Amino acid sequence: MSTATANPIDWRKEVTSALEEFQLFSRRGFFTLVGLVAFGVANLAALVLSLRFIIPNVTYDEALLFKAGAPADYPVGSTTIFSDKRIALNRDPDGFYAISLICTHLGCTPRWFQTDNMFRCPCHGSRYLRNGVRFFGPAPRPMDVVKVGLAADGTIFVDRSKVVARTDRTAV
Amino acid sequence: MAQDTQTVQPAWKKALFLPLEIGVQLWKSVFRHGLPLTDKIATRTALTNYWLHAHPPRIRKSHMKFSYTFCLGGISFFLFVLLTVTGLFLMFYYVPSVQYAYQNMKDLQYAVSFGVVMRNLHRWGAHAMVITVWLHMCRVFYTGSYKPPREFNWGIGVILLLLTLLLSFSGYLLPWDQLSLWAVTVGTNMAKYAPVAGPQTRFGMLGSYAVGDATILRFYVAHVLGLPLVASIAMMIHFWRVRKDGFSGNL
Repeated sequence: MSTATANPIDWRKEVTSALEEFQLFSRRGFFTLVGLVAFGVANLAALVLSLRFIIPNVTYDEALLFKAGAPADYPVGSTTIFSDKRIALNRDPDGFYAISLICTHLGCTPRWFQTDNMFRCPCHGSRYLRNGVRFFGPAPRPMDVVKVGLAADGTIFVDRSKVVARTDRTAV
Repeated sequence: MAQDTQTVQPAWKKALFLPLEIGVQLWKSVFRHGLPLTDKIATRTALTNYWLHAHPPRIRKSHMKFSYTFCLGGISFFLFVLLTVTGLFLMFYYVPSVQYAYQNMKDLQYAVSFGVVMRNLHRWGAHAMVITVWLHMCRVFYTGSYKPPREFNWGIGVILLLLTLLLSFSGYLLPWDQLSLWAVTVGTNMAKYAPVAGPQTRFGMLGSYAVGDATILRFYVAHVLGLPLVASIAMMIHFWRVRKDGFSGNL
């Protein structure tokens, strides 16, 4: 064991002797190198296109924008849950706003508890206020607030693709 | 001299012994030794044949004791074989899609003869394999068997542990119940926290922005083909290295 540590491998010598043995500047050495490089490039290209292949260009997720009916359906001070859409639509005296019910910890759907006036996430116990602000648990930040708008036909819509400021309200 | 004493066999005698000669020839081509008529031949046949004796031919008597290895690697491999066979049977009744997956799982429980046995063998076998692989890792650690010259095989073992956990994770989605859905949501969100290409990794795993049809198909292909294939290759190297490296010394 001691002899192994006393004589460490001289890497410079190893590499030099390997290169000498390979004889790069002979005809055979040169074409071997060309062949190896071509082989390597072809494999690399195959790897890249294989990885690119498994990342889809088109997905079949449902549209991120949905309509939520007439504003009059929602009393002031109400919270309405669209569980399939993972959205909570709040109506305050100053207008509508929608909270994206995707827990900022690891992506589960926090559930609304009307009597406690809070959201609780079933996965790891994060809790959020009615306006989506986290006050307990492992979640690192509040849930996103997404765009609410008024469509031309007078119904309101929620666009989950657009995150807006927490204070944004859509008055009707 | 031999030629002098050799008697010419009559043709009928040759024809009579021909099947026997072919049989012995076949036996020898497979086992490399003669018929195991004596202990010596039987031992030699077994020791030189990887399929009959995967362990190293030379081993210390103290390591022959069950309490040295607890047979944990062997049990893990047995469970892998069990999971491969039961998984193959489950494939006959399972379609990896949002529409059918849960119903197919329920059919296995209530509408398929011995479906409960097959599904539960697969389910509990999978849990057991994760446990035995961990215990095997602990045993190897506590007996110091990870040290040189066996450090390479420890590395292969770490890869096999990761493959076992990935197989477990990918299989967890397939029943398509609430546990499946949210476990994979949470698991892939963890992948999202990875540096450099976190969100891209999650997108690649899901094949979509949320767990859905694309995800279940992806996980199915990885579970029944990709991961077992890689694991099988790693296991071949693993077992071969056990034979070549031998067992580690006494503590």
